[in-house]
Amino acid sequence: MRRIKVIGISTLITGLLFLTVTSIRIVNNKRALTSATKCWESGLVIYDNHELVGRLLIPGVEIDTIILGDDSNSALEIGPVLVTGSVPPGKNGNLILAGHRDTVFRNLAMVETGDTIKVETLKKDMTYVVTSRNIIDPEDVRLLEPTNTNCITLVTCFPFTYIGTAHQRYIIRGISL
Amino acid sequence: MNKCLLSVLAVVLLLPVSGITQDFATLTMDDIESGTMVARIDGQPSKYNPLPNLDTKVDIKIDGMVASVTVNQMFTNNSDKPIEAIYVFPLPNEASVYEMKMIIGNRIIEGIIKERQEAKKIYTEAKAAGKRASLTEQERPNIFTNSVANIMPGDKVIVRLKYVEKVDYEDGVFGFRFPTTIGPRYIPGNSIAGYSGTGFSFDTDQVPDASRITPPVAKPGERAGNDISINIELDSGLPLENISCSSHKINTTKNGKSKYSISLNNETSIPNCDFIFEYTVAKSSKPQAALFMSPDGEDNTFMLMAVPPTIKTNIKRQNKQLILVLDRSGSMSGARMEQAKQGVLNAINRLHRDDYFNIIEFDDAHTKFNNYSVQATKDNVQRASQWVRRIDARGGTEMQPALKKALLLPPINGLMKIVTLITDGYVGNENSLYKLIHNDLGNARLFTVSLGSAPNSALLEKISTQGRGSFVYIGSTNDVSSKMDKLFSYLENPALTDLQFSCIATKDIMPNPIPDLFATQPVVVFGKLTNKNIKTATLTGKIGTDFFKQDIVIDPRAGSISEGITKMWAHEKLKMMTNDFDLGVEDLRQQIIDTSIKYSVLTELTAFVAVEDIIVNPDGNPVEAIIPNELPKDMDYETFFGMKHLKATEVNPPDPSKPVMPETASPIGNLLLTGLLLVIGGAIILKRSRFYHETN
Repeated sequence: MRRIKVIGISTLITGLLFLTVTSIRIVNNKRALTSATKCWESGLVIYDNHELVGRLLIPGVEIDTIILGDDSNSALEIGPVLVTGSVPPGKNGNLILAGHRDTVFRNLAMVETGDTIKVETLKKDMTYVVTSRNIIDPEDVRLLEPTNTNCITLVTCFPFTYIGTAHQRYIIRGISL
Repeated sequence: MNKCLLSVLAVVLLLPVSGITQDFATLTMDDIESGTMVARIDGQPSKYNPLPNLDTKVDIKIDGMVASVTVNQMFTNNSDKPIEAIYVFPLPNEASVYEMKMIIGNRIIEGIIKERQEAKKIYTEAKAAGKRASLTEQERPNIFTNSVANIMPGDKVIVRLKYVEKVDYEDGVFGFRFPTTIGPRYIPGNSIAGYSGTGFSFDTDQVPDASRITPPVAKPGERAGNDISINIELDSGLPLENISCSSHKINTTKNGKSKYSISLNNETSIPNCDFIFEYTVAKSSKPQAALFMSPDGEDNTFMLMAVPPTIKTNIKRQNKQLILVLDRSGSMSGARMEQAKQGVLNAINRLHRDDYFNIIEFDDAHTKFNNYSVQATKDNVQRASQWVRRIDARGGTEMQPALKKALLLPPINGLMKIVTLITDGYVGNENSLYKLIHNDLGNARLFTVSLGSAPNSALLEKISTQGRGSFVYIGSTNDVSSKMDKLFSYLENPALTDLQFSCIATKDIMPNPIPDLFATQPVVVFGKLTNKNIKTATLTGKIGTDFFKQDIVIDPRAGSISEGITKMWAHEKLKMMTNDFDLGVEDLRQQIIDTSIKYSVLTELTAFVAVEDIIVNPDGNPVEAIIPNELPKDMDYETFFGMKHLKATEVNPPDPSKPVMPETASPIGNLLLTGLLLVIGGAIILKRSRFYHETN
């Protein structure tokens, strides 16, 4: 009898701990993004061992975030990252950025064709217009192929509200104006 | 460029003997007798090339500030085939090599100095005719090649080189270095016509003699079969406080008031790091000036060392814009990278709040800490420290673009721009770096910090002189702090500039112009006296914007007589002419050759050749045996040559081969879900337990 009670209490406490730790993590990630943004604004290009390579703005859905130069897990926790195979921001070709669907790219679900996407670097600003929204399997990498034209490809998980590991990808493609 | 590097590496993997030797007679296991040194031929598992045993004996005689060095290289052929030994080896970059002799038993054959191609022709003809012959060529100020033809089975052939150089002096401490091995260098550029030498790299458009300066390196676990012994006879002329050697264990015996004999503790040693020897004079006896004269009949050549007075200045501290250029190439892996990072951290942490700084790191490509120089605030220094700590060694050594970027970073008004290059200098394209500094230095000063147990000091010293800066050497991680202190004492005190040495009855003063001096550095000038009846010389110059004048009392009749002074003067003169020649003054070529032959001082345009007039190998065609160098002891073979040698990339460059879908799954959703389920689960269990309790 008592044993069941103990199991119940410890399960409850573990669950609460999980929730607390995760909430702290969410807050820390938000803080990290704010600090990285400050760094970028003051002209510094490194934050916490991550290179800062640009700023991504999608005014229609209130996305305004710094782009990190490596696609490590710790970078993804902070903000959108440059995917291996992408051209650096400001260079000609396919600029591919990835981000978490439940944090920085949560609002990507509301982006519509015709919306404007802006990318700022220290040297050059680029503007893109959204041309397509795609839901695809992770094996389908056609949209990540290098392109001759200047375009942007934003990648996140799909479905947005799915609990657990999402098995598809949501990809927004824009072309340079 | 990367293709080029990969090809170089492909060649390297065929070490230790390049394919060039395969046309010659080779040995099988049955041919090899006990005590025969051999080199494996890759691709032919059971075939070997005979290697002569090489013993290097170095006798150093230091008299005041002049070191006279005799290097004996004894090649012993224990195989049963005639051999041509080719050995690319280092000497100090200030070495003025003035004599070569070939000794076989009790026969001594004097080498003669000739224009390089002419000397080569004499050597090649002697080799083909079956005569014993030797050829000494200079590839760089600190890299030389000895070729010895027709070393017959059982022969012991000694090539004896003599050189002089000045002993370094600063603030009571005298220093002498002897390099023992050539670290493998990064060769930029694209392949041109193959090989002109026997090294691991092919010649490239940027380094046309690359194959002559990249001797094969012994693999881990293998020995190059080359032992070295070093003996010093020291007569400092002053009472000494301390004698030390940071690189080797030494035995010291005192022979008189200021005379000592020094030898290596282990009689022979593996030549895998520079021999670094220092001695400190007693505090009360620090010399302020010293004059050395050539023996009579040699144009009254002199060398004068004088310590400029430490002038107390009220000059306001000069704020700096410090740009640190950090080498992170493969050759820097291991201890060197740690020394370098520590050096950078040391430098930025010492900056004043009003200073500005930036850091550029380079391998095949380069990255800046920041796009423009930032103020040395606590926050910025902390961020930069973090950035530096993550750096690891990899890739090639494209030093020129990184250095160019540093020189072209916009200067900040009112700040002194100082570029500091931190590297082991393992590159082969020295000339393009000299040209870059000549063209793009502007008002900046360039300092170099050299790292490792066997750095390319010729390059680092020369570019710092050209960059109107100075040079410090960090031999071990323990030295980082003290050496960076020294560098900062150079940076923080105003330099003595526009130095002029004047004295009646003197001519041909070298160096010309006199380089700027920092902190406690003394001035050293060479020249010729037209009249010995002089009493004073004058040194003038500027400290900051103030002028200064110093009289130096000299007495040529009382100066120490030293044999090598004229050779050292000629070396200084040839160095100056070669600098101009390298920068494109083509018509100096003949003048350099003439001066080199007149004073019998070796240059890259001349060579020593010695031929014995007996035919010992009528069949000709001796087996070519290329003697490898040892890998510097703090270097990792795999990182430089092996699979770990990774190409550095720019920030995620396009990879057209195969894109991979990024993993964008966030753990946060899962964590929240797990937490929530646990809470619900826990609550249900508790509720159930209460229900159960109540119903019972």
